[in-house]
Amino acid sequence: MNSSQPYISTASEHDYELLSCYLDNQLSAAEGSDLERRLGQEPALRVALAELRATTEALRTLDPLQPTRSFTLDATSLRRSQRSFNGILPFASGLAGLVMLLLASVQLLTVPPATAPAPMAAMASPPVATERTMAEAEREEPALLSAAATESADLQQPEVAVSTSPEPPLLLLIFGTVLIGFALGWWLLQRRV
Amino acid sequence: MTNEEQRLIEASRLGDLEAFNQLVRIYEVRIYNLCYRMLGDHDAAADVAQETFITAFAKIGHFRGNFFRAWLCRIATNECYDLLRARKRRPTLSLSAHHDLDEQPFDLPDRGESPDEFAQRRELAAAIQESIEQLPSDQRIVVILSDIQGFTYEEIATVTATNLGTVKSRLSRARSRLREILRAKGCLRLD
Repeated sequence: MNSSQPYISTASEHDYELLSCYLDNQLSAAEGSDLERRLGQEPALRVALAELRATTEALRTLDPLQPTRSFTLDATSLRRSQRSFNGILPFASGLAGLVMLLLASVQLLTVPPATAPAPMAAMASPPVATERTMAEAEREEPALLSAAATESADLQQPEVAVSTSPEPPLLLLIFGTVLIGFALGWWLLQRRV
Repeated sequence: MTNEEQRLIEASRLGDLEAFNQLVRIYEVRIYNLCYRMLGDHDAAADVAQETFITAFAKIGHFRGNFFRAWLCRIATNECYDLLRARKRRPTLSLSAHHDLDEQPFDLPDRGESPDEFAQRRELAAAIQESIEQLPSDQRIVVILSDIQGFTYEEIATVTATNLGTVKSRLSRARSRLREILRAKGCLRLD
């Protein structure tokens, strides 16, 4: 099985490519004769060629293996494979992604940046309640007034930040893009033979 | 591609399963061997070969050209790549992936081959298979197709969906790397 190699070949990567093509008769006549001239002059290149030839010959000694069963198809195996994945999920996710992108585009295009969107408007009610609470507190306990005023200021601050936040359309954009990406990826995978 | 093969392909396109099964019988050993050399595992190779023929039957309507075996090998290669990627994500140890004993389950000694020679041949085959598995998958497929299956560079380019230049450089790197591994194992015969 083994044999001792007293010398080590030191050919470059380009030389190996030339030698590999030379073994398969893939060099042009000019390249072939140039390489043969070098082989006559460079012992290291001759060693490299001998080793490459020995490598390909070792690979060619591998006998074909006999499979342990036949791979002929029957109706049952075909039905099973068709049932396993029929492409509805990618189609549905692509469609859902498209709808999400459309919704996000509509939201981004129709809502003026300064106006609070409908869900945000609902959040504007707490200050009214806070005002009423403050009026009652003024009547009942003047000492609490200053604390309630601080609380009210805290509640109103986030309202400004939230009312201009474009998060819902952005989330829709992201999810939509991901779903369409999944559907496209599946489609490309199916096109691959 | 022979006329008979062309006829079988046309019949298969029309849904004739028996015609397709004749194509399977022609190519099953080749496809199984390609899968085994890529994966190094008999069970996985058999599963992938089966999947290859199922896919081929489903997509035979898309087949164009004259290289049917290259087209089949391309399907098998893609299936092997999918499995190798899945293995990378979820590494498992296959019980049948031992090359020392089961390189060839039904291998018998050649006529005139002594038990020693037979054992030596199997040992060499196992060492070569181990060496092939150490190559990156893009180089592995090229060297299997070229040096084990005897494909031309053009066919290899079709199977791997690359150009001739890429085939040449991958093959050269694969052979060079294999040479190093086999030399380290003491498996290279220099006459």
